[in-house]
Amino acid sequence: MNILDVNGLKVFHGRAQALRGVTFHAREGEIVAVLGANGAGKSTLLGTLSGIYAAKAGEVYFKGEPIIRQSPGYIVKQGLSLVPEHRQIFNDLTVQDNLLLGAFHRYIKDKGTLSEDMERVLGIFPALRGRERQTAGILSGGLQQMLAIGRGLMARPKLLMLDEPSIGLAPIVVREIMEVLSKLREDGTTIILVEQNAAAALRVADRAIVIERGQVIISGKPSELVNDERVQHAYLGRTGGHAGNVAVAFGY
Amino acid sequence: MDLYLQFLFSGLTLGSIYALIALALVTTYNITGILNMAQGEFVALGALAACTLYSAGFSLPAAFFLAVIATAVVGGLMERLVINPVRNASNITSIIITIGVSIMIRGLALLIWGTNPYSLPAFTEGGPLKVLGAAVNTQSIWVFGLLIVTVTGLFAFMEKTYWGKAVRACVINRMAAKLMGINPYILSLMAFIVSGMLGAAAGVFITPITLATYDMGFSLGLKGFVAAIIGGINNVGGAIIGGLLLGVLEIFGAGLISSGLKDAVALIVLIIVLLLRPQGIIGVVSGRKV
Ligand SMILES: Nc1ncnc2c1ncn2[C@@H]1O[C@H](COP(=O)(O)OP(=O)(O)OP(=O)(O)O)[C@@H](O)[C@H]1O
Ligand SMILES: [Mg+2]
Repeated sequence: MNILDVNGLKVFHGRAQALRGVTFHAREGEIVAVLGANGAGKSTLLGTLSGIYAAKAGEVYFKGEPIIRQSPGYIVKQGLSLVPEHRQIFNDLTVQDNLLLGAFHRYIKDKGTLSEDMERVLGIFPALRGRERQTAGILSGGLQQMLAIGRGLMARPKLLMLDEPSIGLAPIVVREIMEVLSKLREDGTTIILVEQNAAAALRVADRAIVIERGQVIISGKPSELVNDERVQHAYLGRTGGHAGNVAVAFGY
Repeated sequence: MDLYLQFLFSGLTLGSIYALIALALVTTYNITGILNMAQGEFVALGALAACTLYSAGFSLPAAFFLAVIATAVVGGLMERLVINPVRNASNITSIIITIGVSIMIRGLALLIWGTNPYSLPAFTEGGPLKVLGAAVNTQSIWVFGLLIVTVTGLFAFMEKTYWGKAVRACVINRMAAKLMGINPYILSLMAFIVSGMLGAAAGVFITPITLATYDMGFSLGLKGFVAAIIGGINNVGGAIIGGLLLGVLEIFGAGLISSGLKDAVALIVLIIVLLLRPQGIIGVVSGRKV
């Protein structure tokens, strides 16, 4: 069953069209990688699904219910969380407060479960343990990314979307984060992973789509994508031949 | 020596009112990105409403609470009717709109209350207290107490409560706060309601000293604005210091140089600060924009 269905999504930033009819879906319990060069429209896509940007046209169904043009608050309550680009943690607040605010939408009804959920997140990211009272802004980039993901998990998402979580991080931290994503999938969370780091994303993904200038130009299994010339083309602009090595890295 | 001390106490009393107005301005600005130029009008409305209620036979505390509630309603209505509908407008548009609201409120106040001054009795009876040889009237202590209670309350709310942290999250990163389900438009409404309450409280507390007139809000709002700029416009601590400093400078300027100078002091201070430290005296330079 599809947990997310997106049909013909069109989004403008002012007069510039960022999405030109995006259609794709995510099945329950899979990791879908979304690849694409700079400015392709990946962040616009995730922002629109989360209710941050308004769509001009198109349909979005989450768990069979239309969520297009709903508020971000409504959407996160339904179980769709976004870990935004550049982390966007609350710098001046503590790690603990960042995590607790991730559960804002159910604070009134469900206060009692917050500490339990925080314990779960600290179990997933042990590196954050013992730092609960530290100010989030002073953490290293890797810890900030873990905090951003942890904050997203505090909302108890059915579908977790991550926008370039690996950017600027050391390879070992990237691997750790990708392992966490695999584990979350095993626990039943569906994941949409936007990445410039195609190698890392394709390694954990079940399926992938490539976006170019606001449209999905390719979709398929990672094994199909790594051998596709156009995938390599989509990445040459930024990673300078990096994607050309993807197939090698995978041993395909 | 006694004279200087006398000036200092008078200055701190006046400065407390400026600080309260600046506090409301800065809090609203941090949450909404809007400078509410009608903040002074909330002070006038609260003061005048309390005077009317008191002379209609309500007790002083009852008149105070009703005036605060009424002004809070005005603040909330202002947000819903004119701020929220233009929430995507540029900041300069929003400021002009709040100036329009302030002119409208002043006009209505003139129609309702006329040009006569109104008064309230001091909250506690008895003559001035002697402090270090200077006379401090008891109402000044009430005013100073209001500032302390407000600042303490605001600080406790922002630092210690979940809701206060949600407000701070929205100030730090509006987009991320939205993703968590924090609704900036509700916070905006709250900011205007609290601004109404704070303004009205300040107005009622100062009326036994200065009397209340329909146009008192204009100069008070301007001074609060200058105090906020001195403090760095987005800095709550700076706004309080800016308000107290401005009050003290005004009284000293009026007392030592010329009483005609009192209102010019604010503008002189504003120009000096903008020239020398445009980020404010407390000045963490911050490009943050909510
Ligand atoms: N808030 C905005 N206002 C105006 N234009 C925008 C805005 N956000 C994005 N754009 C434009 O929309 C297009 C798509 O941007 P988007 O950020 O979605 O791309 P992206 O695939 O996430 O790129 P990147 O890999 O750099 O993050 C780009 O041309 C960008 O300049
Ligand atoms: Mg992006």
